[in-house]
Amino acid sequence: MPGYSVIIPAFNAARTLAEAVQSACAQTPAPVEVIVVNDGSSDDTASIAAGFGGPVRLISQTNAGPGAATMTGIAAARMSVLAFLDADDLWLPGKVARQLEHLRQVGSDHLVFTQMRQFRHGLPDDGQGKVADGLSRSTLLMHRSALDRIGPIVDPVGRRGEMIDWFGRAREAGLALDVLPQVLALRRILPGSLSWGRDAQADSGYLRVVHAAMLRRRQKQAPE
Amino acid sequence: MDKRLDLAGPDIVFEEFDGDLVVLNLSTGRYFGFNPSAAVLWSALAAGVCPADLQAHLAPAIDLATFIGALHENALVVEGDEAPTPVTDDLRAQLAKLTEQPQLEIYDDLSDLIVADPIHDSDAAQGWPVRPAQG
Repeated sequence: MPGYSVIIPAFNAARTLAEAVQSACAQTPAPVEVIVVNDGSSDDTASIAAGFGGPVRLISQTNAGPGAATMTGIAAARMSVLAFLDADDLWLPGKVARQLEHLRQVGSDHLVFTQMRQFRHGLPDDGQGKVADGLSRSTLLMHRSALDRIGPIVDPVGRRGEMIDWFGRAREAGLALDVLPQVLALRRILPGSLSWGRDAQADSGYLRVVHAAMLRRRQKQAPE
Repeated sequence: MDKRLDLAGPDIVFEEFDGDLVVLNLSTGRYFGFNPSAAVLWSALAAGVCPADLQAHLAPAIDLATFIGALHENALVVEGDEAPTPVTDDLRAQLAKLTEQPQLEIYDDLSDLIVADPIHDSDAAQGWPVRPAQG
């Protein structure tokens, strides 16, 4: 089994970070390193990450957005296989092992995801939450070389939709997005997280992402 | 055609980027490109002008009904109850100048990614995520 790096971008994640890190460290095989990128948090995110020691590394930066924080983690990662986890989500046992095996079979032009199940912050996971394809950062495992083909993750205005943009660009670059048909991660629903609720600025982020995709499509279709 | 049209809910969002209108249905993940004619009509509809009033100021060759039909088919608009907004002089001038048929480009290449996004997991009005009924 090859070693792998885990990257956790974290912004004001003191409530949830410890659980996330523990769920990564508990994987078999264990990660070579777990890089927590503290994206300018004003809470105890940094001290919680620093308190782990062992394979857990802390990088702190001024607030730049989840995509930028993810890129910081990638730049610091030492291994060629990278796995990502949002600081409010959790991995279930066996997640990484199955993904590594799949990646070994299909090769480095595949991004490997799993299904996710929702649970509510503060309540134990009862196994009844909604299950969906985890086409998100929290289940992504990939070979580093995929990034060279896709380019960097970029935060749109509104700081939402950066992974939609990046996964869309991945497909356009010819990479496959494989979702393993097992629930191997949990998505935490909590008020106050970046993805919770709706606001106009965030919608604008999504609109910028789809507009950019539309322009790329039109350019491809237009005669040279 | 004499009723104004409302957006079909908070999941329909739109914005113009350098004059290029894009409309996104966050619940289906589909997004739509509008040509300049369609963008003028959409802006007028979004301002509350009813289709019948638009038709009255358009060149007869412009096929407004097909365009409105496409908006309904793609679940972007519903008929509203409020009184329509009158056509302004500025809009009247814009409508008179339209010669191109209004057209919608429909894209679904990002729909699975948009639908998978966590935005769909919560209901801001409730303060908690909507959970499907069990069973």
